[in-house]
Amino acid sequence: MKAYFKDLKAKHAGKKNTYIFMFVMLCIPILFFCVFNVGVKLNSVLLSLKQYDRGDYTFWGFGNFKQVFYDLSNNYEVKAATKNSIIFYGVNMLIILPLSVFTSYFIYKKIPGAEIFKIMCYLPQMVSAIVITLMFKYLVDKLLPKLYVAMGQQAPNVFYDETKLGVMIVYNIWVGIGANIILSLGAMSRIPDQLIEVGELEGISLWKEFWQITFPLIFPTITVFIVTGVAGLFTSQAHVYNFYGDFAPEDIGTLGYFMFVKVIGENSTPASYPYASAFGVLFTLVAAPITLIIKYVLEKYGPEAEF
Amino acid sequence: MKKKTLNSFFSIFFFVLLILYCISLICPFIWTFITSLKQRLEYISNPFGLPKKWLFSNYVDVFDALSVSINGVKEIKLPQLFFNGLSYAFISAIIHVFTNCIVAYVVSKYPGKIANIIYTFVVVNMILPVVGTLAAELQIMNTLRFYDNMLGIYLMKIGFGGTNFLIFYATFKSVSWTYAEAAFVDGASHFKVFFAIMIPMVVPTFFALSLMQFITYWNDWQASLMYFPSTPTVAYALHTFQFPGAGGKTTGVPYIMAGCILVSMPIIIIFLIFRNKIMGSVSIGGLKG
Repeated sequence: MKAYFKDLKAKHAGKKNTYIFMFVMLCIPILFFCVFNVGVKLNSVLLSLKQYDRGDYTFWGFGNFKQVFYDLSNNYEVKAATKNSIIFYGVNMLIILPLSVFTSYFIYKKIPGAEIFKIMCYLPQMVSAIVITLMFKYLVDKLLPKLYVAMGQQAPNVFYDETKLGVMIVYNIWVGIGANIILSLGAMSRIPDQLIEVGELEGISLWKEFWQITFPLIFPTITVFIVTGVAGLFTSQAHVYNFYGDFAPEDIGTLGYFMFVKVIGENSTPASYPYASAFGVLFTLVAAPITLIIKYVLEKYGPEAEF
Repeated sequence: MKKKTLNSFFSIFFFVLLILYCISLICPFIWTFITSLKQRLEYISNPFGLPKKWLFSNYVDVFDALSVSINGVKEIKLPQLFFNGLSYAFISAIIHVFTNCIVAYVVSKYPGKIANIIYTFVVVNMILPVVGTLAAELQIMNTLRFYDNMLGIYLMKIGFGGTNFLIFYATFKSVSWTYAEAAFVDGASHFKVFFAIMIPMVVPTFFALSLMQFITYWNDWQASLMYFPSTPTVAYALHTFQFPGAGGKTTGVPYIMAGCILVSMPIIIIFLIFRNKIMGSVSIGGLKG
């Protein structure tokens, strides 16, 4: 009996110690998570329903949302930003992502020079975006006009004339190819060698091997890229702020750039916070279901493979 | 796996494309280096040629020539900008990675309701995009007096979630619990098990993630713009140099290019030394939730 109570006491003490340990380890991270993650999101919703009036925020109902809807259909800058966001999203999903996955595949297959390709392709991700931007900006600003003149055309002001969107798309592709290489390579390296060797014994080409073996097996990782990429439609600045700072031409911005400048720009004030939050809330209401639908569709109809 | 030979039109075409892409990546670096050694006027008159005189002294002068002005009152020179960037990147990376490490440890090794709730929160947070929260975040920071306050900025890194959390979670899941049980029998506390047994087992992961996070924070020029404008980092300073009058002071493109080389060199060296740790340590399966 005495031993039983001793054992019970020890068990209780053990449980108590476990709870104390969990509490000490988790209380501060959870507190900060609640404030700077959950709290920020809730505050964003509250802020979208307010207006800034003489140094204080007061309740304004859906006034900001009305303004956002009005701007989406009438404001030239917002309309251009919406169009550009869709273009950059398309470029990201249809050009950058496939190129990135193909590049990873070639590196994974250890083609001649694979190690050098791996380092080179990942370089734009390692070096600060602002360094890459400055290199590209000053180089292209000098180089492109020379090419135009050589072709007998008038030299453009590269980042302000009609060349600007094309140049920005090229820049996004140029720096974006290496973006998913680490995770793609990680997924490919998990494929069992036996599966690859079967294909090699049958003498199938790289192209066939990619579609028949590799692609189905890394599809869960590609799903992650696509699913998490939806938010980019509304948040990506497509490097526009890097190039232009606060004062990009009206027709080159994206929705992410527009919202960023509203909050951070030289001319921004706390009065623009509620409007920017309303934009964010509205886009969340659009992005969240799209994300879930895409995730559902990809998981249901995408290639299935277990290994 | 054996090396693959290029045996189809697709593979040869893509191989050539990769070579051209790599050349396009290396050329701007070479051009930037050459430009950084030119005189200002020589850059304007001859942007693509070799310098008449290779001015390596630009790299000494740049420490005096590049600076950021804080409200037109205080001038911050390049050495201080480097120090700001270094301390921000190092402290933030350690705090962020350590927080993810301890939360992932508890969630993976102490299963129960709390662990399930935290894990669900992390996954839902990754899947469901909530956009445009910067204004709300700044408002909360102002309320808590975290804005433009480095202590507050570091405290904000005590958050968890995202890829780092999932990587630690998977790593701890793969570590056997029998080591801990043996230690408990010997009278070790939960804290001792964590710090003396579990942490040493995940040192490679901890190191790789800290390194990647350090690089991310070192390169993050927008953080200074958004959260701590009075403590500009060197990456932020580079951004301001391209807009005369926006706070950044420079005496020409060659100096800016020298600044670019100086900012990227430490990262390129770190990357070349630890590339296998960085590029070989990360994989995620999918987002089940």
